[in-house]
Amino acid sequence: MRKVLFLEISGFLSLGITLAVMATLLMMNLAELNVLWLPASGLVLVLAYIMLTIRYTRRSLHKIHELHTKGIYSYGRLVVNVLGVGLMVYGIFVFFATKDIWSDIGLVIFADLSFIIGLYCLYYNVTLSYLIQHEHLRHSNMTFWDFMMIVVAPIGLVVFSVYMLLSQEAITSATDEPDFNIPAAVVVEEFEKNDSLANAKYYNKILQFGGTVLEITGDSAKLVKLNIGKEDITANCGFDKSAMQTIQSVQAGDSVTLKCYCSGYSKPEDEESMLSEKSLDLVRCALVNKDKK
Amino acid sequence: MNIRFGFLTMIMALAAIPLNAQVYKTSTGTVKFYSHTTVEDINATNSTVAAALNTATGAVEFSVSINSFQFKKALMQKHFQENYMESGKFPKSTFKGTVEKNSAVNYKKDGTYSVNVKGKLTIHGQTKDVTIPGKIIVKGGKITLTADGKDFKVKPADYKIKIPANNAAQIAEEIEVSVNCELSKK
Repeated sequence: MRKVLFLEISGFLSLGITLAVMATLLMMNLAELNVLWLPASGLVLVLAYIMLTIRYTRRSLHKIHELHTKGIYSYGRLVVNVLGVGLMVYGIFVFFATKDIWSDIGLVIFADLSFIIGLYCLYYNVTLSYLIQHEHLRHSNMTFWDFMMIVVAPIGLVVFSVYMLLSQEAITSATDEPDFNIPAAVVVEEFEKNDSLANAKYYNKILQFGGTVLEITGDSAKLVKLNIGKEDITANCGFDKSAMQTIQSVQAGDSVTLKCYCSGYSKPEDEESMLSEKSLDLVRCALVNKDKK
Repeated sequence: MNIRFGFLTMIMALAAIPLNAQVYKTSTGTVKFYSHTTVEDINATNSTVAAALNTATGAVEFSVSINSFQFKKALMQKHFQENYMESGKFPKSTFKGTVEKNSAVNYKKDGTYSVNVKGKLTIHGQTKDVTIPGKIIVKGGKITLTADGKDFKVKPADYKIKIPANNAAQIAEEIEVSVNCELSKK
Protein backbone atom coordinates (compact mmCIF):
# COMPACT_ATOMS: atom_id res chain seq x y z
CA MET A 1 0.00 0.00 0.00
CA ARG A 2 1.19 3.55 -0.78
CA LYS A 3 2.31 5.29 2.36
CA VAL A 4 0.29 8.41 1.69
CA LEU A 5 -2.90 6.38 1.30
CA PHE A 6 -2.05 4.43 4.43
CA LEU A 7 -1.59 7.66 6.34
CA GLU A 8 -4.99 8.89 5.22
CA ILE A 9 -6.91 5.69 5.86
CA SER A 10 -5.27 4.75 9.16
CA GLY A 11 -5.55 8.34 10.39
CA PHE A 12 -9.27 8.62 9.80
CA LEU A 13 -9.99 5.08 10.89
CA SER A 14 -8.11 5.35 14.18
CA LEU A 15 -9.49 8.78 14.98
CA GLY A 16 -12.99 7.52 14.19
CA ILE A 17 -12.49 4.58 16.56
CA THR A 18 -11.10 6.86 19.27
CA LEU A 19 -14.13 9.17 18.95
CA ALA A 20 -16.50 6.18 19.08
CA VAL A 21 -14.74 4.83 22.21
CA MET A 22 -14.95 8.21 23.93
CA ALA A 23 -18.63 8.64 23.03
CA THR A 24 -19.44 5.12 24.28
CA LEU A 25 -17.60 5.68 27.55
CA LEU A 26 -19.46 8.94 28.12
CA MET A 27 -22.79 7.31 27.30
CA MET A 28 -22.08 4.39 29.63
CA ASN A 29 -21.12 6.81 32.37
CA LEU A 30 -17.70 5.19 32.71
CA ALA A 31 -15.85 8.45 32.31
CA GLU A 32 -16.65 12.06 32.99
CA LEU A 33 -16.43 14.71 30.29
CA ASN A 34 -13.95 16.67 32.38
CA VAL A 35 -11.60 13.66 32.33
CA LEU A 36 -11.73 13.48 28.55
CA TRP A 37 -11.34 17.15 27.68
CA LEU A 38 -7.57 17.06 27.17
CA PRO A 39 -7.44 14.03 24.84
CA ALA A 40 -10.57 15.38 23.09
CA SER A 41 -8.97 18.73 22.32
CA GLY A 42 -5.81 16.92 21.18
CA LEU A 43 -8.02 14.83 18.92
CA VAL A 44 -9.63 17.87 17.31
CA LEU A 45 -6.19 19.40 16.69
CA VAL A 46 -4.84 16.23 15.11
CA LEU A 47 -7.95 15.88 12.97
CA ALA A 48 -7.65 19.45 11.72
CA TYR A 49 -3.96 18.91 11.04
CA ILE A 50 -4.54 15.75 9.00
CA MET A 51 -7.38 17.35 7.03
CA LEU A 52 -5.09 20.22 6.08
CA THR A 53 -2.24 17.91 5.20
CA ILE A 54 -4.39 15.70 3.01
CA ARG A 55 -5.88 18.68 1.26
CA TYR A 56 -2.43 19.93 0.29
CA THR A 57 -1.13 16.45 -0.45
CA ARG A 58 -3.84 16.06 -3.06
CA ARG A 59 -3.08 19.46 -4.61
CA SER A 60 0.63 19.47 -5.28
CA LEU A 61 3.83 18.27 -3.76
CA HIS A 62 5.48 21.54 -4.64
CA LYS A 63 2.87 23.45 -2.69
CA ILE A 64 3.42 21.29 0.40
CA HIS A 65 7.14 21.81 0.19
CA GLU A 66 6.62 25.53 -0.01
CA LEU A 67 4.23 25.56 2.94
CA HIS A 68 6.43 23.20 4.86
CA THR A 69 9.41 25.53 4.72
CA LYS A 70 7.79 28.96 4.64
CA GLY A 71 4.17 29.13 5.55
CA ILE A 72 2.13 28.82 8.70
CA TYR A 73 2.40 25.08 8.32
CA SER A 74 5.98 25.19 9.63
CA TYR A 75 4.75 26.70 12.91
CA GLY A 76 1.95 24.14 12.95
CA ARG A 77 4.56 21.39 12.74
CA LEU A 78 6.33 22.73 15.80
CA VAL A 79 3.07 22.97 17.77
CA VAL A 80 2.03 19.45 16.79
CA ASN A 81 5.49 18.06 17.68
CA VAL A 82 5.41 19.67 21.11
CA LEU A 83 1.80 18.54 21.62
CA GLY A 84 2.71 15.00 20.53
CA VAL A 85 5.66 14.67 22.90
CA GLY A 86 3.71 16.36 25.70
CA LEU A 87 0.70 14.05 25.38
CA MET A 88 2.86 10.90 25.24
CA VAL A 89 4.95 11.91 28.25
CA TYR A 90 1.81 12.91 30.15
CA GLY A 91 0.15 9.57 29.34
CA ILE A 92 3.18 7.65 30.62
CA PHE A 93 3.41 9.90 33.69
CA VAL A 94 -0.24 9.24 34.62
CA PHE A 95 0.33 5.48 34.30
CA PHE A 96 3.39 5.39 36.52
CA ALA A 97 2.60 8.17 38.99
CA THR A 98 -0.93 7.10 39.91
CA LYS A 99 -1.36 4.74 42.80
CA ASP A 100 -3.85 1.97 42.13
CA ILE A 101 -4.52 3.17 38.56
CA TRP A 102 -6.13 -0.12 37.48
CA SER A 103 -9.18 0.51 39.60
CA ASP A 104 -9.86 3.88 37.95
CA ILE A 105 -11.28 3.41 34.47
CA GLY A 106 -11.54 7.15 33.75
CA LEU A 107 -7.85 7.69 34.44
CA VAL A 108 -6.78 4.69 32.35
CA ILE A 109 -8.80 5.99 29.37
CA PHE A 110 -7.29 9.41 29.93
CA ALA A 111 -3.73 8.03 29.95
CA ASP A 112 -4.37 5.72 26.96
CA LEU A 113 -5.90 8.44 24.80
CA SER A 114 -3.21 10.96 25.71
CA PHE A 115 -0.50 8.50 24.74
CA ILE A 116 -2.16 7.34 21.50
CA ILE A 117 -3.03 10.82 20.27
CA GLY A 118 0.47 12.01 21.13
CA LEU A 119 1.88 9.07 19.15
CA TYR A 120 -0.28 9.94 16.14
CA CYS A 121 0.74 13.60 16.25
CA LEU A 122 4.41 12.66 16.16
CA TYR A 123 4.03 9.90 13.62
CA TYR A 124 2.14 11.97 11.07
CA ASN A 125 4.44 14.89 11.46
CA VAL A 126 7.71 13.01 11.27
CA THR A 127 6.56 10.78 8.40
CA LEU A 128 5.14 13.61 6.34
CA SER A 129 8.22 15.77 6.91
CA TYR A 130 10.43 12.92 5.75
CA LEU A 131 8.31 12.22 2.69
CA ILE A 132 8.14 15.86 1.67
CA GLN A 133 11.84 16.40 2.07
CA HIS A 134 12.67 13.35 -0.01
CA GLU A 135 9.91 14.03 -2.54
CA HIS A 136 8.78 10.44 -2.35
CA LEU A 137 5.31 11.21 -1.20
CA ARG A 138 3.34 9.51 -3.93
CA HIS A 139 5.64 6.52 -4.38
CA SER A 140 6.68 5.36 -0.91
CA ASN A 141 5.14 2.19 0.43
CA MET A 142 4.23 1.60 4.04
CA THR A 143 6.66 -0.45 6.05
CA PHE A 144 6.39 -2.96 8.84
CA TRP A 145 7.31 -0.25 11.36
CA ASP A 146 4.57 2.07 10.08
CA PHE A 147 2.07 -0.68 10.67
CA MET A 148 3.48 -1.40 14.13
CA MET A 149 3.46 2.25 15.18
CA ILE A 150 0.07 3.29 13.95
CA VAL A 151 -2.01 0.12 14.28
CA VAL A 152 -0.44 -2.51 16.54
CA ALA A 153 0.87 -0.21 19.31
CA PRO A 154 -2.42 1.66 19.97
CA ILE A 155 -4.59 -1.46 19.70
CA GLY A 156 -2.13 -3.36 21.90
CA LEU A 157 -2.22 -0.61 24.52
CA VAL A 158 -6.05 -0.54 24.55
CA VAL A 159 -6.34 -4.35 24.73
CA PHE A 160 -3.77 -4.45 27.57
CA SER A 161 -5.62 -1.69 29.48
CA VAL A 162 -9.03 -3.35 29.13
CA TYR A 163 -7.54 -6.67 30.27
CA MET A 164 -5.89 -5.06 33.29
CA LEU A 165 -9.06 -3.14 34.24
CA LEU A 166 -11.32 -6.18 34.06
CA SER A 167 -8.94 -8.65 35.67
CA GLN A 168 -7.93 -6.52 38.65
CA GLU A 169 -8.96 -8.23 41.88
CA ALA A 170 -10.53 -6.06 44.55
CA ILE A 171 -8.21 -5.12 47.44
CA THR A 172 -8.81 -7.28 50.51
CA SER A 173 -6.25 -5.73 52.84
CA ALA A 174 -4.33 -2.46 52.98
CA THR A 175 -0.96 -3.08 51.33
CA ASP A 176 -0.04 0.43 50.19
CA GLU A 177 1.75 3.01 52.31
CA PRO A 178 -0.62 4.61 54.83
CA ASP A 179 -2.15 7.99 53.99
CA PHE A 180 -2.16 8.86 57.72
CA ASN A 181 0.10 7.49 60.46
CA ILE A 182 -1.98 8.78 63.33
CA PRO A 183 -3.34 7.75 66.76
CA ALA A 184 -6.91 6.47 66.30
CA ALA A 185 -7.99 8.62 69.26
CA VAL A 186 -7.07 11.76 67.30
CA VAL A 187 -9.17 10.58 64.35
CA VAL A 188 -12.10 9.89 66.71
CA GLU A 189 -11.80 13.41 68.17
CA GLU A 190 -11.97 14.90 64.68
CA PHE A 191 -15.08 12.85 63.89
CA GLU A 192 -16.72 13.95 67.14
CA LYS A 193 -15.91 17.57 66.42
CA ASN A 194 -17.11 17.64 62.80
CA ASP A 195 -18.38 14.41 61.26
CA SER A 196 -18.63 15.53 57.62
CA LEU A 197 -15.25 17.28 57.64
CA ALA A 198 -13.52 14.24 59.16
CA ASN A 199 -15.35 11.95 56.74
CA ALA A 200 -14.11 13.95 53.76
CA LYS A 201 -10.57 13.76 55.16
CA TYR A 202 -10.36 10.11 56.23
CA TYR A 203 -13.05 8.09 54.43
CA ASN A 204 -11.51 5.23 52.41
CA LYS A 205 -8.00 6.44 53.25
CA ILE A 206 -5.41 4.11 54.76
CA LEU A 207 -4.79 4.81 58.46
CA GLN A 208 -1.95 3.27 60.46
CA PHE A 209 -2.51 3.26 64.21
CA GLY A 210 -1.94 1.28 67.39
CA GLY A 211 -4.11 -0.14 70.16
CA THR A 212 -4.69 -3.00 72.58
CA VAL A 213 -6.84 -5.91 71.46
CA LEU A 214 -10.08 -6.18 73.47
CA GLU A 215 -11.70 -9.05 71.59
CA ILE A 216 -11.60 -10.92 68.31
CA THR A 217 -14.87 -12.24 66.89
CA GLY A 218 -16.23 -13.71 63.68
CA ASP A 219 -15.92 -16.89 61.64
CA SER A 220 -16.00 -16.03 57.93
CA ALA A 221 -14.09 -12.81 58.59
CA LYS A 222 -12.64 -11.35 61.77
CA LEU A 223 -13.50 -8.21 63.66
CA VAL A 224 -10.79 -7.02 66.01
CA LYS A 225 -11.91 -4.52 68.65
CA LEU A 226 -9.12 -2.26 69.84
CA ASN A 227 -8.81 -0.11 72.90
CA ILE A 228 -7.48 3.18 71.53
CA GLY A 229 -7.28 5.04 74.82
CA LYS A 230 -10.75 6.60 74.59
CA GLU A 231 -13.36 5.69 77.14
CA ASP A 232 -16.33 3.78 75.62
CA ILE A 233 -15.01 4.17 72.08
CA THR A 234 -13.30 1.33 70.26
CA ALA A 235 -11.71 0.89 66.86
CA ASN A 236 -13.61 -1.90 65.09
CA CYS A 237 -11.18 -3.37 62.60
CA GLY A 238 -12.46 -5.78 59.95
CA PHE A 239 -10.11 -8.39 58.50
CA ASP A 240 -11.12 -10.08 55.25
CA LYS A 241 -11.10 -13.88 55.29
CA SER A 242 -8.04 -13.83 52.99
CA ALA A 243 -6.12 -11.94 55.71
CA MET A 244 -7.38 -13.98 58.67
CA GLN A 245 -4.23 -16.09 58.85
CA THR A 246 -2.09 -13.05 59.56
CA ILE A 247 -3.89 -12.44 62.86
CA GLN A 248 -4.20 -16.04 63.98
CA SER A 249 -1.60 -15.56 66.69
CA VAL A 250 -3.11 -12.30 67.95
CA GLN A 251 -4.93 -12.54 71.28
CA ALA A 252 -6.89 -10.24 73.55
CA GLY A 253 -4.44 -8.06 75.47
CA ASP A 254 -1.83 -7.86 72.69
CA SER A 255 -0.64 -4.46 71.55
CA VAL A 256 -0.89 -4.21 67.80
CA THR A 257 -0.26 -1.76 65.00
CA LEU A 258 -2.71 -2.05 62.13
CA LYS A 259 -3.14 -0.55 58.69
CA CYS A 260 -6.78 -0.25 57.55
CA TYR A 261 -9.13 1.63 55.23
CA CYS A 262 -11.26 4.06 57.23
CA SER A 263 -14.97 3.41 56.94
CA GLY A 264 -16.28 6.23 59.13
CA TYR A 265 -17.42 6.70 62.69
CA SER A 266 -20.47 5.04 64.28
CA LYS A 267 -22.53 6.32 67.14
CA PRO A 268 -26.04 5.35 68.22
CA GLU A 269 -28.74 7.03 66.10
CA ASP A 270 -30.89 7.68 69.16
CA GLU A 271 -30.89 6.94 72.88
CA GLU A 272 -33.14 3.91 72.44
CA SER A 273 -30.86 2.25 69.91
CA MET A 274 -29.66 -1.21 70.88
CA LEU A 275 -26.52 -0.68 68.77
CA SER A 276 -25.22 1.73 71.36
CA GLU A 277 -21.48 1.40 70.79
CA LYS A 278 -19.38 4.25 69.57
CA SER A 279 -16.68 3.06 67.22
CA LEU A 280 -14.19 4.09 64.60
CA ASP A 281 -14.95 1.67 61.77
CA LEU A 282 -12.14 0.26 59.70
CA VAL A 283 -12.07 -2.34 56.95
CA ARG A 284 -9.58 -4.34 54.87
CA CYS A 285 -7.09 -4.30 57.73
CA ALA A 286 -3.55 -5.65 57.73
CA LEU A 287 -1.35 -6.40 60.73
CA VAL A 288 1.78 -4.24 60.75
CA ASN A 289 3.26 -5.08 64.12
CA LYS A 290 2.45 -7.05 67.25
CA ASP A 291 3.81 -6.93 70.83
CA LYS A 292 2.83 -9.71 73.20
CA LYS A 293 0.94 -8.69 76.31
CA MET B 1 -32.43 10.51 101.83
CA ASN B 2 -29.35 8.46 101.16
CA ILE B 3 -31.16 5.24 102.05
CA ARG B 4 -34.03 6.18 99.72
CA PHE B 5 -31.63 6.99 96.91
CA GLY B 6 -29.77 3.71 97.44
CA PHE B 7 -33.04 1.78 97.41
CA LEU B 8 -34.13 3.51 94.21
CA THR B 9 -30.79 2.75 92.56
CA MET B 10 -31.07 -0.89 93.59
CA ILE B 11 -34.60 -1.16 92.13
CA MET B 12 -33.45 0.46 88.88
CA ALA B 13 -30.45 -1.81 88.66
CA LEU B 14 -32.60 -4.88 89.25
CA ALA B 15 -35.10 -3.70 86.64
CA ALA B 16 -32.32 -3.18 84.12
CA ILE B 17 -30.87 -6.69 84.46
CA PRO B 18 -33.65 -8.64 82.73
CA LEU B 19 -33.97 -5.99 80.00
CA ASN B 20 -30.25 -6.19 79.18
CA ALA B 21 -30.34 -9.94 79.31
CA GLN B 22 -32.97 -9.97 76.57
CA VAL B 23 -30.74 -8.19 74.05
CA TYR B 24 -28.75 -10.38 71.69
CA LYS B 25 -26.06 -8.80 69.55
CA THR B 26 -23.31 -9.34 67.00
CA SER B 27 -20.75 -7.22 65.19
CA THR B 28 -19.85 -9.94 62.72
CA GLY B 29 -23.08 -10.74 60.94
CA THR B 30 -23.11 -11.42 57.22
CA VAL B 31 -25.11 -9.70 54.50
CA LYS B 32 -24.65 -10.79 50.89
CA PHE B 33 -26.16 -9.51 47.73
CA TYR B 34 -26.53 -11.08 44.37
CA SER B 35 -27.44 -9.48 41.08
CA HIS B 36 -28.21 -11.82 38.22
CA THR B 37 -28.53 -10.79 34.57
CA THR B 38 -27.77 -12.62 31.34
CA VAL B 39 -24.74 -10.35 30.88
CA GLU B 40 -23.14 -10.66 34.31
CA ASP B 41 -23.60 -12.06 37.80
CA ILE B 42 -22.42 -9.82 40.63
CA ASN B 43 -21.81 -10.97 44.21
CA ALA B 44 -20.66 -9.07 47.26
CA THR B 45 -20.27 -10.00 50.91
CA ASN B 46 -20.13 -7.97 54.09
CA SER B 47 -19.07 -9.96 57.16
CA THR B 48 -18.92 -7.15 59.72
CA VAL B 49 -22.59 -6.30 60.03
CA ALA B 50 -23.80 -5.08 63.43
CA ALA B 51 -27.17 -6.47 64.49
CA ALA B 52 -29.26 -6.63 67.68
CA LEU B 53 -32.51 -8.27 68.76
CA ASN B 54 -34.55 -7.70 71.88
CA THR B 55 -36.30 -11.01 72.49
CA ALA B 56 -38.85 -9.45 74.86
CA THR B 57 -40.12 -6.80 72.45
CA GLY B 58 -39.07 -8.31 69.11
CA ALA B 59 -37.19 -5.12 68.22
CA VAL B 60 -34.52 -5.70 65.57
CA GLU B 61 -31.72 -3.40 64.42
CA PHE B 62 -29.12 -3.74 61.68
CA SER B 63 -26.29 -1.42 60.73
CA VAL B 64 -24.39 -2.21 57.52
CA SER B 65 -21.25 -0.36 56.48
CA ILE B 66 -21.30 0.05 52.69
CA ASN B 67 -17.52 0.24 52.49
CA SER B 68 -17.28 -3.25 54.00
CA PHE B 69 -18.90 -4.98 51.00
CA GLN B 70 -16.19 -7.07 49.39
CA PHE B 71 -16.40 -7.78 45.65
CA LYS B 72 -14.26 -10.02 43.52
CA LYS B 73 -13.30 -7.38 40.97
CA ALA B 74 -11.86 -3.98 41.88
CA LEU B 75 -13.80 -2.14 39.17
CA MET B 76 -17.16 -3.48 40.35
CA GLN B 77 -16.37 -2.52 43.95
CA LYS B 78 -15.41 0.98 42.95
CA HIS B 79 -18.54 1.52 40.85
CA PHE B 80 -20.75 0.14 43.62
CA GLN B 81 -19.25 2.34 46.31
CA GLU B 82 -18.57 5.56 44.45
CA ASN B 83 -21.10 5.74 41.61
CA TYR B 84 -24.15 3.82 42.80
CA MET B 85 -24.19 3.83 46.63
CA GLU B 86 -22.16 7.06 47.04
CA SER B 87 -20.71 5.54 50.18
CA GLY B 88 -18.73 8.68 51.09
CA LYS B 89 -22.07 10.50 51.43
CA PHE B 90 -24.16 7.60 52.75
CA PRO B 91 -21.67 5.33 54.56
CA LYS B 92 -24.28 3.10 56.25
CA SER B 93 -27.49 1.27 55.48
CA THR B 94 -29.73 0.57 58.46
CA PHE B 95 -32.82 -1.39 59.31
CA LYS B 96 -35.01 -0.84 62.37
CA GLY B 97 -38.04 -3.03 62.83
CA THR B 98 -40.04 -5.46 64.88
CA VAL B 99 -40.63 -9.19 64.63
CA GLU B 100 -44.33 -9.66 63.87
CA LYS B 101 -46.05 -12.08 66.28
CA ASN B 102 -42.92 -12.12 68.44
CA SER B 103 -44.78 -13.96 71.19
CA ALA B 104 -45.07 -16.99 68.88
CA VAL B 105 -41.28 -17.41 69.00
CA ASN B 106 -40.01 -19.37 71.98
CA TYR B 107 -36.52 -17.99 72.50
CA LYS B 108 -35.87 -20.40 75.34
CA LYS B 109 -36.32 -23.52 73.25
CA ASP B 110 -34.19 -24.65 70.31
CA GLY B 111 -36.10 -24.45 67.05
CA THR B 112 -36.58 -22.67 63.73
CA TYR B 113 -39.34 -20.10 63.37
CA SER B 114 -40.51 -18.47 60.15
CA VAL B 115 -41.25 -14.82 60.82
CA ASN B 116 -41.94 -11.52 59.13
CA VAL B 117 -39.96 -8.52 60.27
CA LYS B 118 -41.61 -5.19 59.59
CA GLY B 119 -39.71 -1.94 59.74
CA LYS B 120 -37.83 0.89 58.08
CA LEU B 121 -35.00 0.14 55.68
CA THR B 122 -32.60 2.99 54.90
CA ILE B 123 -30.33 2.68 51.89
CA HIS B 124 -28.58 5.53 50.04
CA GLY B 125 -30.20 8.02 52.42
CA GLN B 126 -33.73 6.90 51.47
CA THR B 127 -36.05 5.24 53.99
CA LYS B 128 -38.80 2.80 53.02
CA ASP B 129 -41.27 0.71 54.99
CA VAL B 130 -40.60 -2.95 54.26
CA THR B 131 -41.66 -6.37 55.48
CA ILE B 132 -38.88 -8.94 55.29
CA PRO B 133 -39.69 -12.64 55.48
CA GLY B 134 -37.02 -14.51 57.40
CA LYS B 135 -36.22 -17.14 59.96
CA ILE B 136 -35.23 -17.05 63.61
CA ILE B 137 -33.14 -20.03 64.59
CA VAL B 138 -32.67 -20.66 68.31
CA LYS B 139 -29.86 -23.06 69.09
CA GLY B 140 -27.61 -23.56 72.10
CA GLY B 141 -28.33 -20.18 73.66
CA LYS B 142 -27.64 -18.32 70.42
CA ILE B 143 -30.12 -16.78 68.03
CA THR B 144 -29.54 -16.66 64.29
CA LEU B 145 -31.49 -14.24 62.10
CA THR B 146 -31.63 -15.21 58.45
CA ALA B 147 -33.29 -13.93 55.30
CA ASP B 148 -33.08 -15.64 51.94
CA GLY B 149 -32.25 -13.61 48.84
CA LYS B 150 -35.16 -15.27 47.01
CA ASP B 151 -37.57 -13.67 49.52
CA PHE B 152 -35.78 -10.40 50.29
CA LYS B 153 -35.29 -8.30 47.18
CA VAL B 154 -34.35 -4.65 46.92
CA LYS B 155 -35.00 -2.45 43.88
CA PRO B 156 -32.17 0.13 43.48
CA ALA B 157 -34.66 2.54 41.86
CA ASP B 158 -36.77 2.62 45.07
CA TYR B 159 -33.79 4.07 46.94
CA LYS B 160 -32.84 6.59 44.23
CA ILE B 161 -29.75 4.61 43.27
CA LYS B 162 -29.03 5.81 39.77
CA ILE B 163 -27.84 3.20 37.33
CA PRO B 164 -27.21 4.61 33.84
CA ALA B 165 -29.49 3.14 31.15
CA ASN B 166 -26.51 1.60 29.36
CA ASN B 167 -25.41 -0.26 32.50
CA ALA B 168 -28.90 -1.56 33.16
CA ALA B 169 -28.13 -4.73 31.21
CA GLN B 170 -25.40 -5.64 33.73
CA ILE B 171 -27.33 -4.92 36.93
CA ALA B 172 -30.56 -6.67 37.90
CA GLU B 173 -33.71 -4.60 38.52
CA GLU B 174 -34.09 -6.42 41.81
CA ILE B 175 -31.07 -7.27 43.94
CA GLU B 176 -31.33 -10.40 46.09
CA VAL B 177 -30.17 -9.71 49.65
CA SER B 178 -29.44 -12.57 52.05
CA VAL B 179 -28.81 -12.13 55.76
CA ASN B 180 -27.17 -14.43 58.28
CA CYS B 181 -26.43 -13.00 61.73
CA GLU B 182 -25.64 -15.18 64.74
CA LEU B 183 -26.43 -13.19 67.86
CA SER B 184 -25.36 -13.94 71.39
CA LYS B 185 -26.52 -12.57 74.70
CA LYS B 186 -24.89 -9.29 75.75
